[in-house]
Amino acid sequence: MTQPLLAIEDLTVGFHTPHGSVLANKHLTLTVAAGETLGIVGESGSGKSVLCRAILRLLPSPPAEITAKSLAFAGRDLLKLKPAEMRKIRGQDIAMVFQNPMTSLNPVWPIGDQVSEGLRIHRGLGRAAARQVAIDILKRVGIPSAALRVDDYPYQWSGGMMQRAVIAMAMTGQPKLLLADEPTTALDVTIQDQILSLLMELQRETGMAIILVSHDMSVVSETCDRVAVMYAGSIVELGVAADILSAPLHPYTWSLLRSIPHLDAPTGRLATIGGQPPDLARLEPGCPFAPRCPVASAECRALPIALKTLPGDRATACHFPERVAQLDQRAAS
Amino acid sequence: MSAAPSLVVEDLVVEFAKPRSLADMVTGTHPPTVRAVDGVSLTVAAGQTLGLVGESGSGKSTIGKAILGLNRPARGSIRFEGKAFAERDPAGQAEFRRRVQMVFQDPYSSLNPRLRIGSAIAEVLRFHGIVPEQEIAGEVLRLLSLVGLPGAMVERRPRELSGGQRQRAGLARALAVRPTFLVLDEPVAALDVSIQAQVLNLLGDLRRELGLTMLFVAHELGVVRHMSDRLAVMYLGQIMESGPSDAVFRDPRHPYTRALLSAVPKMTTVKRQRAAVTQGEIPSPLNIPSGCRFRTRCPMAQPVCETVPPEVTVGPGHVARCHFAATPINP
Amino acid sequence: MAAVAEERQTTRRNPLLRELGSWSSSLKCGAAITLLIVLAAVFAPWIAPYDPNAQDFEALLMPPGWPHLFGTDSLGRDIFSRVLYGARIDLVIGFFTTYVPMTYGVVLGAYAGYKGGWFDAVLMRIIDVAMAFPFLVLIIVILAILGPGIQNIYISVFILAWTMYARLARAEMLVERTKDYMTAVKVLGFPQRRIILRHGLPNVINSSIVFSASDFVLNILLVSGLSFLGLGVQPPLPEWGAMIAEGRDFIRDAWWMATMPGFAILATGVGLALIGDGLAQRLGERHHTTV
Ligand SMILES: Nc1ncnc2c1ncn2[C@@H]1O[C@H](COP(=O)(O)OP(=O)(O)OP(=O)(O)O)[C@@H](O)[C@H]1O
Ligand SMILES: Nc1ncnc2c1ncn2[C@@H]1O[C@H](COP(=O)(O)OP(=O)(O)OP(=O)(O)O)[C@@H](O)[C@H]1O
Ligand code: SF4
Ligand code: SF4
Ligand SMILES: [Mg+2]
Ligand SMILES: [Mg+2]
Repeated sequence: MTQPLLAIEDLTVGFHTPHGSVLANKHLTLTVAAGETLGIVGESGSGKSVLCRAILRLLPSPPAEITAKSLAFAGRDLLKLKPAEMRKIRGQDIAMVFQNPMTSLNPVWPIGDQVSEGLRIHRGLGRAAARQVAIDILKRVGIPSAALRVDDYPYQWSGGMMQRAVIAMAMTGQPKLLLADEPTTALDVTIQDQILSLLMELQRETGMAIILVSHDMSVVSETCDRVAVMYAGSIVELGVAADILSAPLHPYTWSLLRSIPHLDAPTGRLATIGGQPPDLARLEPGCPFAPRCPVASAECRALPIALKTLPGDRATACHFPERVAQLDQRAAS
Repeated sequence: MSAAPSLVVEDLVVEFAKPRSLADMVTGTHPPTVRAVDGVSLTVAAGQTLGLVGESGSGKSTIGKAILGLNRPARGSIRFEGKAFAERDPAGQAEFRRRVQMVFQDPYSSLNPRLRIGSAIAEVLRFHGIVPEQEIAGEVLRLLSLVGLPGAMVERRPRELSGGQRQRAGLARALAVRPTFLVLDEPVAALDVSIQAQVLNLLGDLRRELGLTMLFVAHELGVVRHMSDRLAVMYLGQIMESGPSDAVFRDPRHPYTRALLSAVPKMTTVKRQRAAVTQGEIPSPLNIPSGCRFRTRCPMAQPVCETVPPEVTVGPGHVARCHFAATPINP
Repeated sequence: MAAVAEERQTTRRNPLLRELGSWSSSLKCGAAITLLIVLAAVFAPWIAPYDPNAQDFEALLMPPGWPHLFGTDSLGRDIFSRVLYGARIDLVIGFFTTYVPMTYGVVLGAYAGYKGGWFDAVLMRIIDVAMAFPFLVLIIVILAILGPGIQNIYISVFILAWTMYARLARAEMLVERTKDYMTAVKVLGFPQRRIILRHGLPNVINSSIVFSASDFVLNILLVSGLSFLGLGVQPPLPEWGAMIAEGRDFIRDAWWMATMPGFAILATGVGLALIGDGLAQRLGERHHTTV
């Protein structure tokens, strides 16, 4: 196997708050190869966005505290880079599409200027040329009448239009790794379809790797090679997308997949997971899913979890992956 | 089914003008206006949920905001329980403000960055006198747990929450005043599917128990189908198709509705190689195609489509705005 | 695991200490200098070795040394004591001339930015007119009408100095009011005054707070300058500017008379400028970190 583009080893991110340290990422280890898409799914608040920001070192510290054995991108440890070197990596080699389109655009700047700024910095284009390229990129992500609307301010665009502008900005630097944090949640399905096709096409053309955070399992199944499932700051399951989505080996993944509302078979009540997600400032030892897990036992609360490798290039943090079969049986009866 | 209408919107037009720049004033030109909503009529019966889907930028949020009186329509009327906002006396307006609530699309900007989540909700409870002072703290916790947030969130500020946590805090704030009509602008977009299920179940319970009426805007069609009694599909400021939710999903008559349905991502085992389902440049509200608005992207377009299509009734309460809506087509 | 335990430990520390620990070095330095000056002002009666106005004709124009740390002036008064007492006068003047106009300037600006319309238009025209003339010239014109004296300086600064704050707050409010949280409270039926003052104001005040640190220095300099011209604090009060003015005639023979109060002004200026700098960074950071 060749060296992966991104190799994260034992990454932990904590936030200091008056009520203790919030552990948003706990001992994460994962790799992403060039040309690959890694999907990250999981509970809201489980640390997906924090992970993306930690990779780019965008978390101000304090309150954040980042520790890792290594955070290697193309063989260089990002945690050891000087701020100036890190700035060169951001936008050029690693680009990010933030979850919140509205706040990732500066409200007092015309959108066109914000897109062309990256072009001028990274590609050294002149003002007029950058503007023209910006219009082209905006057209490519499907902004209608781009030439007429480049001088609009962000509040004049709809949520979906802003999201497309943000995607356009990320593409200006021709990155090797794209961190896409829910890039299409603000978009309608036809535009989502276009953006996903565009991303996949760019990936085939340039061999860029993508980390795609999404709540939409179908989007993940259509675009990702591998998936990491997160719960309470930990990766609880990791493996080939098709395997995990069709035959999960962690009770959380299993429950998650069961909650999806279906287009063709509307049901009365949706399946949910009972109980509350844990407070990340007060994590118990043992499996964090135990209080909500339908097949938990006493051992689960005692034994600390770690991702263990299973045959078939997959890994789960559940101590008893065989119990998922019980869940299937129970649901059937 | 003939419940009294709670909300009636008739022929609503909302326009946004760009401010005139100095150059415009010198040259005497008028900047183009964006017609974000162009003649929309819709009715929501009491206790029912209307799903609103459609193109991003087609005016869904604008309609929601117009209902709450947050932008001034150029034309048309919006009546809640028979009365327009302007016709109400100050007491009536205050009551309207309590009974009609909105959950905003962008969870990042819809919470005051300086206020802790607990105080933001407590303020609303206190201001409207929903519960006596000594019960406020308990009520805040109850609201948070309704939307699936742990009590520890009371002390957090918005920047210390994830996207989905903020969205739920916004929902809890809107529910705090115990509204009867809720405009939900993408209320579950940032939630993972299990918490999404919890919130959707909660909304379903409120509808059943309290007769909550909802306008539900969302992109995810599975969610919309699950939630809504009726459905309206928007494209470029107009409603292209509307009808009972089941009928529209089962037998979509407008090519745009069909395009939407076929663009829904499906569970697969192979990575996508294909091009996008719908091609063609998306027109903008600054430059609306003549005749049928969907013409530039419609796979079925014919020369006749250069004329404005009629609204064809294709079933009970089911209308579509297409020249060929009368014939069902099974794709 | 050890790292995690350690992290837990640090968070149990006193919140005040943690807050201090997160300050940038310029903020810390600025705060330390300013705190020192404030303490000196507060405890002047205990620190000062002499009465600031006591004249000692046996010790005229003594150079800095012992027992007169900063030397004495032409009337034999101890300059160190006068500088200490001067801090009381100058800090109070700086405080009032900065924060009184800031209070209503920010409120007016926030209203104008939120409401727009004629109120905004009229206010902006007034501000434009006020800002079209140099500040000092306007102050001198007003003082020429009202007559010299510290009271009239206050009045003239109150008439003029709010404009900058109003402008800053208005500009920020124009951005803030398009955000959904401002709409959300409107939907909740809150009255406009509450929306602007309780929800808008705290979010538009940052740049004004940052600006106020440097404004504070400028105002001390202004009053000192006016006192120097004989329009401000009248002798024998130990105001720094007035002291410099008195020292001007002796600059060849007794450089310390003008220089020592000059240093005091300089130190205050540096302290506040560092605070302003640090705050700008810190508040900016606070404002823009959203995960
Ligand atoms: N500055 C902060 N201080 C304290 N806690 C924080 C801070 N930033 C994030 N958190 C917490 O860290 C956890 C992870 O947040 P993150 O934004 O990564 O979640 P997420 O997985 O992206 O969720 P979502 O799907 O809802 O966006 C959350 O529980 C959040 O409350
Ligand atoms: N304040 C404004 N000024 C100018 N144009 C605006 C303003 N608000 C909205 N628009 C325009 O009105 C149109 C409709 O916007 P709206 O936000 O209602 O879309 P939407 O259907 O909610 O889209 P999305 O699904 O992406 O949120 C867009 O073209 C948008 O650019
Ligand atoms: S370890 Fe135990 S509690 Fe945790 S997911 Fe597996 S079975 Fe459930
Ligand atoms: S009227 Fe014509 S262009 Fe419009 S949707 Fe129908 S077939 Fe397509
Ligand atoms: Mg997130
Ligand atoms: Mg919208």
